[in-house]
Amino acid sequence: MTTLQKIITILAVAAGTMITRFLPFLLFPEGKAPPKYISYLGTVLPCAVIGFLVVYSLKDAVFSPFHGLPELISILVVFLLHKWRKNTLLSIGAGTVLYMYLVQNWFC
Amino acid sequence: MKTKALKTALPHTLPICVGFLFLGMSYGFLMKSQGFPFFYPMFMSLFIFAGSMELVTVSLLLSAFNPFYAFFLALLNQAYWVTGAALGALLGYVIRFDTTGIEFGMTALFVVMFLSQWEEHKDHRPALTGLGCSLASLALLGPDAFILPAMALIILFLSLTRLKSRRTEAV
Repeated sequence: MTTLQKIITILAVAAGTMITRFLPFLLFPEGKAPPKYISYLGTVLPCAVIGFLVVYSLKDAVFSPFHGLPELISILVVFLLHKWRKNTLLSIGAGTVLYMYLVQNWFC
Repeated sequence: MKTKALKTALPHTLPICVGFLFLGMSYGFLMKSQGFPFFYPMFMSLFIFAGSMELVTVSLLLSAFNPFYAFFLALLNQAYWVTGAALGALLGYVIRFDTTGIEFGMTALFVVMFLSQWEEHKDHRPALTGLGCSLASLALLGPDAFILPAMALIILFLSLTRLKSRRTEAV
């Protein structure tokens, strides 16, 4: 691809992203209350989506030759660390460093 | 009102700061390794900022309706991402350490968010629905085809739960 083509591609992706963001505000104008069903989804969907995202981030790991073992170990550490210290920075950072260590030295 | 909104938004964005810095950096490293000069990931992140779409939506839905808060939330999140991406790309010129596995930062972030949600909400059904539908779809359809069916199933089960609770209310 030429540079110009790359720029156009990037702009196209940006446009697509913006459409998906503005659509709810276009469909449900201010002042008019959105349908109760939509409001209901607004309360339950965040929880469900995070569950989905956890599975999504592990989707390839499960089918890898190690069947997600380094991921499982690292997630366990993240879980225990977070329960203990409740420090998000620590939980994410330590878990990631552990995973990188495992994947570079033991599971390769 | 705007300074207060900024001050309110900032602490909520700190967990995302960590995740995005790691993830942004891995993205910057990746682009560098593919031969792109550093301003590519930086400007792409500035204009696209699409990988985090769900994260932004989730945090916006969780917050009270306050447009300035939402604006600063989105702005700060994007700032972290752009910083991470630029940093990663620049560091790619300098640092030569093996970054294999750094993308686990994203997984760790989601796990931490899931744990926080779990402790905040008494009703765990939506979280379990999300987890269950996604796992089932993944098992049945594999990693390349499970996303849309998983989302459809989630909507379906959340709607069924609502119908069920409305019926028991009516009784």
